[in-house]
Amino acid sequence: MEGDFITLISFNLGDQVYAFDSLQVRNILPYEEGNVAKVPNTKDFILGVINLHGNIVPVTDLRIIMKIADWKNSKDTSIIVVSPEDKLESQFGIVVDLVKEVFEVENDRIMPPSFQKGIGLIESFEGTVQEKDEFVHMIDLMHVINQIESKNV
Amino acid sequence: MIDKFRAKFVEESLDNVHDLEEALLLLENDKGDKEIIERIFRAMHSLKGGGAMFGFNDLSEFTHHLETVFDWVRNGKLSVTDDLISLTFNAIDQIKHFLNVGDITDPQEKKELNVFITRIQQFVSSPSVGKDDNNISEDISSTEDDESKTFLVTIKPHSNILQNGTNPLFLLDDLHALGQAVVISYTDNVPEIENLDPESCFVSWDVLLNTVEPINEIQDVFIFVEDECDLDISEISKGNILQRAELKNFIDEAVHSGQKLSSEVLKGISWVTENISTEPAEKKKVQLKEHKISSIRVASTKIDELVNLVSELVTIQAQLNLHAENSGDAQLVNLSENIQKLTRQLRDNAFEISLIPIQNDLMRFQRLVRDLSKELNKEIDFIIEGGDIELDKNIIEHLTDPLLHMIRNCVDHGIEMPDERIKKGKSPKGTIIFKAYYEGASVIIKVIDDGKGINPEVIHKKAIAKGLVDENVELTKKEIFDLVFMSGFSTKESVSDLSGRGVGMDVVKRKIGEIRGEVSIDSEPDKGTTVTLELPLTLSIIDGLLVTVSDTQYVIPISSIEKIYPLEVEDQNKIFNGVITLEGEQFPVIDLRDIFNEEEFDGKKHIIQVKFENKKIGLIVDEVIGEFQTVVKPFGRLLRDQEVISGASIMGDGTISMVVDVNRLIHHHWVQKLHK
Repeated sequence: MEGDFITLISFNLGDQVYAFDSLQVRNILPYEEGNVAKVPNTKDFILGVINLHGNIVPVTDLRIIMKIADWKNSKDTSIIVVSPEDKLESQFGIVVDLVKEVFEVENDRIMPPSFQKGIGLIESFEGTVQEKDEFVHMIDLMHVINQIESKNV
Repeated sequence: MIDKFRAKFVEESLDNVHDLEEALLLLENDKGDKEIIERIFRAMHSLKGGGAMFGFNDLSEFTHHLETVFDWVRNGKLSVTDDLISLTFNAIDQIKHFLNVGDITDPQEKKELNVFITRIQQFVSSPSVGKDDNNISEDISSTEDDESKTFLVTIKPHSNILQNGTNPLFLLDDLHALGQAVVISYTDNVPEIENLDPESCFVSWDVLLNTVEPINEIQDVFIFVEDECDLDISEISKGNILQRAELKNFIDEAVHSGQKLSSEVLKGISWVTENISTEPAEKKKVQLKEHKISSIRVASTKIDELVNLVSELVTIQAQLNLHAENSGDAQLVNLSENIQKLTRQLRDNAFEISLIPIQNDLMRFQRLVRDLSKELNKEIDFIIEGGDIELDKNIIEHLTDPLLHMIRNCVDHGIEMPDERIKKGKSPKGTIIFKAYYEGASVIIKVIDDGKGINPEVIHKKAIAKGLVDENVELTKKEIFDLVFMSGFSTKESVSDLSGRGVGMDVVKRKIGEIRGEVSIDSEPDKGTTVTLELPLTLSIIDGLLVTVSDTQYVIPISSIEKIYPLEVEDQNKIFNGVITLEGEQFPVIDLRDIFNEEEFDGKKHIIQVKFENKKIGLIVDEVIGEFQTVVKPFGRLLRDQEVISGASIMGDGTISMVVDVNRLIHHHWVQKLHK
């Protein structure tokens, strides 16, 4: 519908900017390796679990999921905790290089995805938005979950 | 939306049904108790009303017939008999069925239902008093009450009353509930069918009500509809005048002449009161008013959330304590200690909230014993001790089936037929005692019967015949009874309609094992059998041994641990082909580094010997840190397929350790081996 908008949260991975729906974000935390407890027998993109207000929350690394070459942790590296379907049990954290901003975008400004191919385990994108001279690529969280679950067996 | 309400209704109705069953069991012992009859009637009444409102029409109609019967009972026109109680028990099952499936559609079932209803109606089959032509319906009265008064209640609903979802007929029902009533309805304003607006109300009523309740009780009936109807309540006379011929004539006249009843005229008639019985009537209690709210219904997810938050508080409190002690600031230490005290109390309270009394389940058992013993022509007393013992709701959920099985066993196989009991010099009536009590951090549940008992020799022989034990091995009495729990022991020879559907005590043991409980049996031939369950108070808190493997911390539940051995570097060559010889014992070992895909390690290790299905197995870990009481938290959805880790636990310093599911780990290991 014209005039309708969604709110996105954008973040850096390598030198690209990506975003997803901010309504599912519950928390943003600085990434500290010592706080993530390793869980044995899991895929490399599952870093482990963290203690978030007394709840155990699994953490995945989007840089590994998207097979980004030579990434480094810095003080900007963050965990975005999302809660798809608004359920506590489906909460998980996503590690990204840097959380940029939260912004609103009118639906008619969303263009078809400019990436024609997937990146790493992400097979497709939802769309592309031009925001302040930058191209932001939208990722569907449910797609991320489905990919993780299908590869995690 | 409506589904949500329906679900809520079903939930509440199940409570009502539960209440009904309980009251009925009480009634069986004291058939004259007016309060219990009143309670039964009320429960039926709410079922009926709610049923109609939420589209359970069959339920509503069915309960209506049942309610009529109990109305008679309540008014002393019908006495409580065993037949009536049995019929009502059956009816309760039918009501449960309605609540499960809604209205009946299957024609066969419908037919059965009608037969059932006819059976119910037979209880009240004296000349029925229907509505006659001039729209008067009435309750018959047999006794008159000298403390009662007769009121004229004029109800004129506004035409929009239906739009708020009010059903005025329920108001009439409520009036009926207060005493005896004669209802005269005025339908003159109802338009022709083509002009009828189904959302408007065109009917008004005059109700002549005889009741012992004060006038404000009558007003309370209309408390929610005051603004939606014109209401007039006036006292006409003392005593019950509903059955007086003068009144009937008066009403007839009024109806025929199309006039409404007027309180002035009615008051003007002198109602001679000589007929009224002078015996003081039993004072009816105002049940509704006395019903105080003693408990509130809270979604269990909210409780889980609360317990979660409290666990978090406990964790953070531990950190604060540590920090305070290190800082050396006396004031801070003092504050921190005070907070610690409060936190402990809060934690205990929160955990207490998540416990529910075992009582709620016991009703079913009582019912089971009653039904089964009738069916088998046995006489059994079921005695409950400690029904107020509380357990974690998850434990209670797991407990129901094993307990049902155990009690079935008692009734079916344990207690003998009455004549057999007399021959043995016992009372013809058997006894089953259900006993629950706290013992330390556990709850003990005993099911004790005074039946024929089990002969250990018979068990021993049977186990030998089945090849479960070696003939030459001497066993203690306890060991023999433990054989009953071995899978493959229960025979299908004893399959009856009731218990032993191929499911034996081994299943009971497994089920109880799932909630980290223990089962044992003791028995004396001809004296009886005692089955004992030992259960943890809660599932979410476990006593665990904290160990490390590589740089991750793991918690192994203490309950499964037998022994801990240090494993020096030079002893590690004692492991051959996956089996170690230690202190004259040989048992298989599993290296957790292997299971968790960690690198090999040559330093000093430890072996944790655990129980797994009567076998002993060693788990090799790096370090043993110590014993901790921890709260087990589930992993999120992304890690739900995790096999060997049952959850995680947050330690006092905020770090996380993995809780090992020992049974699954061993199982997983062997399955993997097979695949290799």
